Amino acid sequence: MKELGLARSGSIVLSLFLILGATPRGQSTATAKSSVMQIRATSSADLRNWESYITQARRAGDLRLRSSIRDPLTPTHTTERFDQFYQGIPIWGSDVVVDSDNGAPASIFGVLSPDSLALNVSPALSIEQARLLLTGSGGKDGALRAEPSLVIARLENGEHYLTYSAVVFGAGRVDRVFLDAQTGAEVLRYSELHKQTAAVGTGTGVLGDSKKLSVEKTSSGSYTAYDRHRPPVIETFDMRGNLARTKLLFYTSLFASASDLASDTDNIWTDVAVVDAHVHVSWTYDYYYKRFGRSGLDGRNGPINIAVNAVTQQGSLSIAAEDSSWAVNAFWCRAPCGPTGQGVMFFGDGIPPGYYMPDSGRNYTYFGGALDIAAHELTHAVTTYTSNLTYQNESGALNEAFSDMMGKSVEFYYHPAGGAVGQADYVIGKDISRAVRPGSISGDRSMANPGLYGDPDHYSRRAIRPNTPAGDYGGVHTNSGIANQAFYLAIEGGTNRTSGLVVTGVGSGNRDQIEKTFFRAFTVLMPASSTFSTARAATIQAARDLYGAGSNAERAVIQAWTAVGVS
Amino acid sequence: MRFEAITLSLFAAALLSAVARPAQAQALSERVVISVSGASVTGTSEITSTVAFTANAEKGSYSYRFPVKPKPFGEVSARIRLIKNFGVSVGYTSVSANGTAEITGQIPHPFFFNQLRPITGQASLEHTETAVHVRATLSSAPGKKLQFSVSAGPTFFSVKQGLVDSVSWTDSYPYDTATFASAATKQVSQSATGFGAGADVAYYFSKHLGIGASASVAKATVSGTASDNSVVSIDVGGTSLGFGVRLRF
Repeated sequence: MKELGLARSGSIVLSLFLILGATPRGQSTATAKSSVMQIRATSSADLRNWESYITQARRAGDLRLRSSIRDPLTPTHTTERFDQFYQGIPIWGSDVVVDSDNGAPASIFGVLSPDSLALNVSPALSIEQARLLLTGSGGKDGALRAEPSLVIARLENGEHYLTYSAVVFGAGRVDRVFLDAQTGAEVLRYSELHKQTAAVGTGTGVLGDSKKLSVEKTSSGSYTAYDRHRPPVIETFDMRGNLARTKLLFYTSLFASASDLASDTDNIWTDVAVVDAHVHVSWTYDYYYKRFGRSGLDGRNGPINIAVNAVTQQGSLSIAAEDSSWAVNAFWCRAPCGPTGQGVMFFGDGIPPGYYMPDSGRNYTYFGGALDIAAHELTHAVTTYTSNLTYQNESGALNEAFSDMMGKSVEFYYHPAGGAVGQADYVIGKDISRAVRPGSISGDRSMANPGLYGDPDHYSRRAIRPNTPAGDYGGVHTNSGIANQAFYLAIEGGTNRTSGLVVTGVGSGNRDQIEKTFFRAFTVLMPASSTFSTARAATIQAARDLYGAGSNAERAVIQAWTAVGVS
Repeated sequence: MRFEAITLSLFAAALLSAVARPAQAQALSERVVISVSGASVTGTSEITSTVAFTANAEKGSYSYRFPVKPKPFGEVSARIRLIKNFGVSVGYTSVSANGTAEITGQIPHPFFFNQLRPITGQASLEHTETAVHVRATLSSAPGKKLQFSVSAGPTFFSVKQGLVDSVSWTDSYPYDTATFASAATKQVSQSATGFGAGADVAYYFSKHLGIGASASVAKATVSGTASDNSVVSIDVGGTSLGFGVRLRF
C-alpha cells in the first residue's frame, strides 16, 4: 500500500513534553502545567511497555473502553479505543487507540494526561449553576440541548481544569464550552460546526453547465479538489498533462504530493475535466448512499481518488498508440494503483474537437463530463469490494453490465429523462461521445437496443472472443449488452428484438425497485465467477428478498432474463 | 411579553406656577390639568423583513415576522389652558416589550443549485418605544364637573428595536435538510416624528380630583438596516385608549 503525504512514523514510542510556566488562573483548581504523554508505539519493546501500562490503567479504571471495531479490510485486527479518566471523571481529548492483530498489539497511538494531576474533583458550582452560566454564554438566545457534564479539560499549555461542559447554541454559533467548575470562568471553547476548511466552489462542466464543488480551503487561501463535506475522502488529482508522472503515480511506489491535487485560486473552477470528474463521482457516491445506504466504494467510506488530465486533448494527437487509454478512455484501477495507492478512477481528456476515432467515427471529449461514465467507473470499484466479478468472459461481462446499469441509474437519478445531451436515457456515454464521421452514431452502447452498437441483446447472439486484451477478455464490453437489455426491459418493459418476447416492466416510476434488486444481487449475492445464469437466479432471489415472491419486480426480472435468452 | 411603563412629570414648572396663585385657585381657573392614566393600544403592528445572504456559493434568505403587541402601559400628561378654552399639553408614554419573532429561512444546498432547504425557528426581540406628545388642545368651559377636550399635534418617537441579524443552522451529510440552530440579533435605535390627535373626557367629583377616559392616535414609521443593507420598516405608535385620574388646578 502507498500512502499520501507524511511517511509512516518509525518506532518512536513516547515523548514527554514538559511545559513550564504560569500559575493557575484565579482561585480555580487548575493543575500546574504538566507533561502530556504522546504515545506512538509500533516496535515490539514499546508495544510491550505500553500494553502493560494500559492494562494497569484499565484495572484502575483510569482507561475505559469506548469502542471496539473490526475492520473488514483487516479481518484479523481489532481496534479498541480507550478514554482516559481521572478519579472517575473523563479527561477531554485524552484517549489511546490499540490495534491488535489476532489479539497481539500491532500499534498503540494516543495522547494521555499524566497520572498525577493533583486536581480537586469536587466542584464548587452546582449543575444548576453551571447550566445557567453555560446558557448565558450563548447570549440572550443561548440554549443547551443536553445537560452539562463534568469533564476535565486539558488546555494547550498543559493546564487541567475540572469543568462543566456542554454544547451551547446561540448568537449564531454552536460551541462546546467548558466552564471552570470552581469559579464558573470559561476556560475553553471551540466550534462544533466543523466548517473551518470546507468550502463550496462553483465550476463549469464539459457541457457548459454550472455546478457546485465541495472543496477545501487551504491555509494559503487557495482551494483544492478535496471534498470536505462528504464522509469519505474524495480527492481529484490534476496530472497537468504529464503522462510520465501519471504513470509513476499510478504504477510505482511514488506517492502524490499536495501539489498534485487539482487546485484553484478563486474557487471559481474552470477546468472542465476537474469540475465534472470531481462532481460526478461525488454525486455517484451520494446516489449509492441515498438509494442503497452504501457508504462508498468499500462500504466503509474508504478514500475515493480521481485523476484527470494525464494527456491533454492536443497531446492526444502525438502519444503512442499504447498510451491511448490515457486520453480516450476512463477506467478504475484498484489498489495499490493510483496517486495514493488506494485505487483510482481515471478519466481521459479525449481528443480535440473535429477529430474522431477511426474505429467508431466518434469524437470523445472529457470522459468525466458524462455522469453515467463517472458512475460506471465508481461502480467498478464497488464491484471490486463486493462480488469482485472476475474480469473475463461472462463474469467480466456482468461486471461491465453492472457498471452500465448503475451508470444509467445515477443519470436518471439526477437528470431529466430525454434523449438530448445532458438528459437521461439508456445510451452509454452519449454526453461525451459524438458522432463525427458520416454514418457513425453518438454514444458507446445502448441498453435499450444493444444491437444498434453491434452488441448482443440476446444470449444466443453472445460474442465468443478470446480471453485476451485483444479479445476484450472474452468480449466483456460486448456481451454486457445481454444483461443491460435485461435491466432495461425489467424497468421499462418492451419487446426483445431477437426473441420477440414481451416484458412487462415495473415502469420508470418504480425504477428504484429494479435498481435495488440488481444492486443486491450484484453486490451481496453473486460470487466472483458468476455466469449470466447466476445473475438471473441472483436477481430473481433479490427481487423476492426485497419485494416478495410474486411481486411486480420479481415478475419483471424473470420476464426480462427470459426475453434475453438467459435461463 | 414584558411590559414596563415609565412616567415622568414633564411640567413641574407649569404645575408650580399654577399652585403659586392662591387667588385664582379660589375661582378655579382650571389652568392646569394633570392626567395620569393606564392605557392600552388597540390592534397590533408587525415587523417583517426578508434578508438575503450568500452561503454555499448561492443566495439564500431568511424572513422573520415580529408582532408588536403592546400591553397596557402608563401615560402622563399635563395640559395648560392659555387663552379661553385653548391650551397646550405635553404627554409622555413609554412601552418596552419583548416578543418572539418567527423565522423562516431558505438555506442553499452545498452540492446543488436551486435546492434550497427550509428552516424555521424563533428569536427573542426587544421593542422599546418612548414618545413625547406635544399638542394643541381645545377644552370645554373650565370649572364644570364634566370636562371635554380634544387635542392634536406632533409626537416625537424614540424607538429601540431588535432585529434578526443572522441565522445559523446545522446540517450533516447528505445535507438535504437543515435545522435552525440560533439567530443573532442586533439592536437599532431610531427617532421619528409623527402626528397625533386625541380626545379626553373627565368627571370631577371634587374640586380638584376626577377621573377620565381618553382616546388618542399617534403614528410614525422608522426604519432599521438589515445585514444585507435592506431597510426594515418599523411602525410605531397606534390607537390607544386610556383611563385614569385627573387633577386640575
